Amino acid sequence: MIELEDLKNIWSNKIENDIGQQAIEQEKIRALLNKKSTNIIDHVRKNLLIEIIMFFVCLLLIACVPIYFHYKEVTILCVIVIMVVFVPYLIYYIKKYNELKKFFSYNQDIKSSLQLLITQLEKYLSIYFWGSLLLTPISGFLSGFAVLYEMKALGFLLYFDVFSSATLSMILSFALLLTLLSYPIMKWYIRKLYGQHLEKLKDCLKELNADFTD
Amino acid sequence: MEQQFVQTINQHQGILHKVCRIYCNNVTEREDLFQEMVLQLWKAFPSFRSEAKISTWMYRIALNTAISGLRKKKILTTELEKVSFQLEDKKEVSIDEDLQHLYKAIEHLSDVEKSIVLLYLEDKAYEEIAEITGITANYVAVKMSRIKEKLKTLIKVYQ
Repeated sequence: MIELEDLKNIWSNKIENDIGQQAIEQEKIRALLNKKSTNIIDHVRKNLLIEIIMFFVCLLLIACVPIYFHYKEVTILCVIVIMVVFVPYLIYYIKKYNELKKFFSYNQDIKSSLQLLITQLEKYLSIYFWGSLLLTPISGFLSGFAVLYEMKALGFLLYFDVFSSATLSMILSFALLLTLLSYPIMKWYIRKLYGQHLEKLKDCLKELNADFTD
Repeated sequence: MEQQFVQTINQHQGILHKVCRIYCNNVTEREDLFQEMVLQLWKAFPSFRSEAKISTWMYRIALNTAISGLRKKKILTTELEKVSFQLEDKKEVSIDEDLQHLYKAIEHLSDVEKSIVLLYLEDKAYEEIAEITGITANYVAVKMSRIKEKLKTLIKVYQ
């Protein structure tokens, strides 16, 4: 039977031969420097960029509405929607971007790196979750209100008072229902995006911290 | 600086290949991890202080990348994928049988255990393993004795 000290010998005698076949030239190493990273932080950064682009596309679409519907009310409403939605979302994205800037490189030991990565990832995901959840009723209320208001402006819903307390309560209920529905969806989405990976990182850290509990 | 970096990596690329060998089971995964480690080392290179041991610095970043990295899930669903894995297995036949057993046993260890066992096999002192992993040298010794027991059982199974 093989003894464990023999493992070291097997390794030191045979590993060089095995990895020697995989050695790559300097030019190939240089070419790798231009490739894209698949690291978790770069992954998060890429997703944030997609979100920001989508947000601006939506804003652009709203801004284009008055081009097709030449009503003063429609233009005013679009400006209000853009202003009201733009400011909180902009704060939200700046906060997320600033969190990402704080993310580290792997210069420290494994335990410290894991600790830092977990803390930063948890903070980022918390901003992601609560930010999205808080912005849902604002977006829901404004979308509901905008749809009704513009339908009235376009000549539909003639006998409908958009500013009545009953209508506003209805839109508010719709926004709250949307928020309630988005809670489990957001939880699932964030878990699907990074949650499982975060669990894996926590397990590794737990294993490294076990010397304090053993 | 780029030339200096490329030369350093070229000189010590064995470290990266060894980490890839320990953490990845197939060639594609190994290539992806190798690329990611090079990119992370390149990012960290400006902060590297020459008084530090280059191998310790490289192990630290390479192992951090391997442990914290997002790796694609391996799902064998199609016949084509099964065939490609069989072909890959045939390529591995050329590797020494003892080394193959060792690789297979290491596959069953956790990511943290893999990092410790790699450094142990590389004949690093417990103090240096502690410096790379961030745990105490005493705990490295405790961990290593548990890993040895695990490996002993696993290798027995493969022999």
